Amino acid sequence: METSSSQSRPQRSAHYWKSLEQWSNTPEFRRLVQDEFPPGATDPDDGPTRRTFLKTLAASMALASLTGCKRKISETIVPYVRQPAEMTPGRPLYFATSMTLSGYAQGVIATSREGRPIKLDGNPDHPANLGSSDAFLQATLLDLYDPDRSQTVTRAGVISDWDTFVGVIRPRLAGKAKDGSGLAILTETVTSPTLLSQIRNLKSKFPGAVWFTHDPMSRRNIRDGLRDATGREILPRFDFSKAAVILSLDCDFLFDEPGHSRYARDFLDGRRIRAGTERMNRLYVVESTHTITGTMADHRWPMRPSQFAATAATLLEAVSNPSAAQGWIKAVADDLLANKQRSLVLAGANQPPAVHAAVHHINDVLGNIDKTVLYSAPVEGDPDGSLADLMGKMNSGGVDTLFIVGTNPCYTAHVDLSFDSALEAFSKQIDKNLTVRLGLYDDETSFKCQWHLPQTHFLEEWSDARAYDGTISTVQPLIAPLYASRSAVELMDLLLTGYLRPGQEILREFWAEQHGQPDFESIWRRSLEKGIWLGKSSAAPPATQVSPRTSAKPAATGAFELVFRADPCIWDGVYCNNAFLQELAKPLTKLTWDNAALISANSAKKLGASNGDMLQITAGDQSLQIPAWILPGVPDDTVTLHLGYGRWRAGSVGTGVGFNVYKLRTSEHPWFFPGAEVRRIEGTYFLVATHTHQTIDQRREGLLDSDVIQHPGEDKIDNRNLVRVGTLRQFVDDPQFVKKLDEPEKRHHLTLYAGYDAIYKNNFAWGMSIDMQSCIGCNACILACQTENNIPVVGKEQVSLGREMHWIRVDTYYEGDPESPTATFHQPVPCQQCENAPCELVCPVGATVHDNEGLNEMVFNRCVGTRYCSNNCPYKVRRFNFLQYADRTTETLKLMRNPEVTVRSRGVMEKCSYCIQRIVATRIDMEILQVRMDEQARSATGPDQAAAIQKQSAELRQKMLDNLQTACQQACPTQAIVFGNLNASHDPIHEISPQHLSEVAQLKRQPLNYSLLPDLTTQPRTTYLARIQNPSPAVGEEKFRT
Amino acid sequence: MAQVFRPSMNAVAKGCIIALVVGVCAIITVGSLLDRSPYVTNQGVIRDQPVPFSHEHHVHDLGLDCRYCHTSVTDSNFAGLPPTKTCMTCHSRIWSDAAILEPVRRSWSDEMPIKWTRVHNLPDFVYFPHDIHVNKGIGCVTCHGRVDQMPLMYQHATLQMSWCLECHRSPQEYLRPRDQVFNMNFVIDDKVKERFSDAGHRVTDQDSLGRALIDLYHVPKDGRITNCYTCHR
Repeated sequence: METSSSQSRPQRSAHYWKSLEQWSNTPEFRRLVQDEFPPGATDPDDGPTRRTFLKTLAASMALASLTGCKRKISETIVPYVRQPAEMTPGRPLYFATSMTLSGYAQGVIATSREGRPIKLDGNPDHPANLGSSDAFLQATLLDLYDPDRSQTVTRAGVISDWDTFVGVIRPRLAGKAKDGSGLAILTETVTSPTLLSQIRNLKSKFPGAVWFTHDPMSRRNIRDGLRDATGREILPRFDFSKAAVILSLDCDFLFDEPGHSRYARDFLDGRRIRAGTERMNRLYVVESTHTITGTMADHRWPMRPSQFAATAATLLEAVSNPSAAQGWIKAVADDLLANKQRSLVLAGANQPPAVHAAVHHINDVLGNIDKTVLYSAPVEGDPDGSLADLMGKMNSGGVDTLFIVGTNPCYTAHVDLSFDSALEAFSKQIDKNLTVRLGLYDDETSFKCQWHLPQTHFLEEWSDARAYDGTISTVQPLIAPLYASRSAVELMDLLLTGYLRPGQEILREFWAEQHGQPDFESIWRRSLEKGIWLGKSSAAPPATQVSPRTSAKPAATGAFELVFRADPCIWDGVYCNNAFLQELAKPLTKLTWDNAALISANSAKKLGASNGDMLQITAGDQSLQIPAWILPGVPDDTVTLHLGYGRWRAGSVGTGVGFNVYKLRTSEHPWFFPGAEVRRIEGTYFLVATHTHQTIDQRREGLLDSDVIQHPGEDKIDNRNLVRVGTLRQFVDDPQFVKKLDEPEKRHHLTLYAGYDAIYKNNFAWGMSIDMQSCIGCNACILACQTENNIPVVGKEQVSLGREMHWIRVDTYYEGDPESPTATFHQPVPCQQCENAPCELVCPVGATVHDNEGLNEMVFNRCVGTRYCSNNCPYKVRRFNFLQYADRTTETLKLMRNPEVTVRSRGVMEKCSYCIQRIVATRIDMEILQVRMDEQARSATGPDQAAAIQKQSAELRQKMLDNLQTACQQACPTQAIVFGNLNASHDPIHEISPQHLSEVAQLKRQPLNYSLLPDLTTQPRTTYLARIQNPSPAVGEEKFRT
Repeated sequence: MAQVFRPSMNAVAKGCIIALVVGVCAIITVGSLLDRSPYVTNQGVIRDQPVPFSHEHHVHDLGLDCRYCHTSVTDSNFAGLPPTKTCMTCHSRIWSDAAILEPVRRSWSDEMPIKWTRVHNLPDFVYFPHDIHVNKGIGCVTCHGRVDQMPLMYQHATLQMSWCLECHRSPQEYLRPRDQVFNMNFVIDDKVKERFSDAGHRVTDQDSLGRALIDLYHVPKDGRITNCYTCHR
């Protein structure tokens, strides 16, 4: 692979580039970009010999004629014995529930078909996400149906059952009835009011019992810092809707803050540019790695972790005494001071407490507290200690009965604790100790415990949890447990009562008591419907003082600094066995199925390493070998390491994938390591990333080599304006500047067949607008599409051949040099649904054709797999089933499929359909409503009543039309994707108010609207809105380099 | 060296050429006839069922409406199959000891559903929504035939794509008034003719009635319903 940032550049490549290969514009890359797939993708997996070729040929001839002869096999059809009253077979039902990530809740609306949840989306009524999703919310459906989930109780690896377990646990607890000493519970972060109350009750029943939490993504630093600064036990949340100037000190608030989906919405609402907009918020980001938050910044400075404390202190100084400040800090401080009470400074949970204390003081000076920064008592419960405290007790004999609920410390614990071996030794003392693990998988921790109990997935259980703002969110099951599993609430209840009671009973009991009013039943039902507890509840449990932990301040050294981060796809490792998330191209790096040591181009030069070269990282006593990956924008002399990989008992998907970074993570340095030694060692590793796949050629069609030679480095040669970016000032001065990038039409759309214009006028005309201003590159759309459309996972090998199947991809473009990219942009690319589609012309069997609503139809059952269409697609959005990717054998995975979308076979082309199944369902509902209400109108008593009925009919139909969303649109946290009907005269409401235009039609009339490759006259129905930056004149072009 | 082929082989060679042409035609003809035959389409084939349920008896003799059992036909793409409870509303009292109803009673007492054999089975890449057809005036009889004359259920039509397209290309030949959808013996009488004749239409036969109903029920006339995405996705 040619990374060659240092090597001679043939000529300046594209203004915006997706990959280092594209930037350096090597001959290899030129070949790649001109092909439909990367080299080798279209070859058979094993090179055929002449003999196998002839055999295959003969066999195909013989078998081809037989394919039509298959008799239909007899199928059974099974009705209910008693059909549930609320369901209509064939129609989905929707239920509100909640999912948690590191303890914090997000609202979920689950779509259920015949009792099976088949799709998860955000709950529009829930304040944490307002109906949008993140990648985890979309993908966790696969966890429910994961065939690797543990299915039975095991004792020392031997299959047992719950009754046997109860038989063991009852006498054990009875023996502890007096004081309960020796009883310990280890959980992850707990926000569930029910679970917290159970733990409280447990501690009052067994006064000696102790509760510990272990969460690798702990938010301890924030609390410690704020305690130092204010003396109170508080955690912050932020109101981005009121913030005009935002400074993030290493806070990836669009990804890893508990309220990230809501933050993304509020933040982007302050940045939307429409005709006449003159103001937008401004984001400064200083970060120790490159994150999606950094890509949204108007000014971004990469900074080594060791410098953050000093920077925060300088900034505090600067806002307190503006005249003394200088450089970029002064510019930022001035901007913040000019926006007192409307600014916001935040620091990441990974930053040491001192930074959080400084950030509090800065916000205090700026008057932001209670305006944009809201403090409240922590939502999470306060345990008696951390994992280290538990280990102290285990070693001293203070614990003899240990319950580990959910969390996986044998994998995620800090390496210096050696929890894995400690637990093993502890469990081995069978006569003395009892260790029990409740977990979704029989994983690393379960392996070291005596008992493993299967835990329910959140879609199978009754529970509750709090969101980032304290909203109590209800969890209700969508399906009875697939296996003999129980929830954490049920296990705690077993410890309290000695009986296995159903979770519903426990939850109802708790909330009935909390509510204490006779109207509980109706409140309870309404709460479950909304997904939010609407009744009374006692205040959040009072926070107890936790002994402050001393956290080391990283000191600057000359060596490399390490940055530990949650993986953008598999978080801390909990989603390691989720193939959807493993195959998802990570934001920015576009790596799949692996993690890597992310380094800057300069660091790579220094180390003599390029992508895939193995590095040896030594941090104190620990060392790790991991391949390098160059990520433009990472600060020099730092290495970013994503946690969550290298698991040894994750399941058939996750085991052995990637490199275990926890090996370097110590209690002293959980987030940063200041003085690591990094060197290049022998060997390379096969990393697979999609950043070079499906690259749209930036070089104009029809250019001769002589043109290229005559105009070296000219923008015209290698810039087709795929990415259009400007500044707010530019937009205000000349709103039409984006349109001016369109070349004067060289070619006009000519056709001999004029029929379509008339057809489009009398039908819906579906179209999509994608706002590059709002796309944060979070990947939620990709996974929403994957679950909605039954898109298969192909595996690392196949991805390396460019055969990934995602119907929508997010292209990430950099601007500037690889050493110091000046900006980063995300561009989601689904099928562009060209009105004049090149793919249709070349299909020999009419498997891709145009319909009356302007859609470019892909008819799976007609496709014979010539791939001509894909070859002729300038946007490279078509995907081909080179092999039988869809799993046709695993029973649980069949339950997950969307019954409204065909499961594709080998040899079939597929692509984005604008979620045609949703369009058809909406259209049918609208048409049925129309004929029914027409009939009512005809039997009305007079013309007035008839007109009223017709008006109501139009309004209801319009509402249905407005509610029609594609899966990607529904998932998008920032509403960057808008889909709908472009044809005003075919809107039902148009009859009532002729001016009516759908949202997407309005967006298409915006000055920032543009289409990709307009010179090809494909007339895409998907268009883009250009990205507008809001740089501060005071910072200007000055570059700050660490 | 003697000639390998004697002159008489000329005739054989000619015969072979003719046989080849005829043979290829025959294979194509037989193949396509086979493909359209009940052997492949299951048209008219009575399927074994756990209970020999008679639509003739229940619909014709007793006068049950289709929707009594197929409850979701107007509201869902799936017409609905009666749960055991529907059978038991009557058969807990009527014919409550009949031997042929044993599977129904067993299903009721064991809470295990009856496993019927599917009679109308479309390929998995075809999506047929009942609700839109029924609501826009396609009668049950049009696709399912005279169910009231079927003692045992069989598939009335071929269910092949060409058969679907006959109607999607010219719906006027099949449309009927919405209130006649569940009528097994619908005929265009004077009342219907009068009811649907207006300024733009004079209803005399199926074709003119169909054209009137196309306008009344907003059935697309521009060929939209022959788009592939109408049924395939």
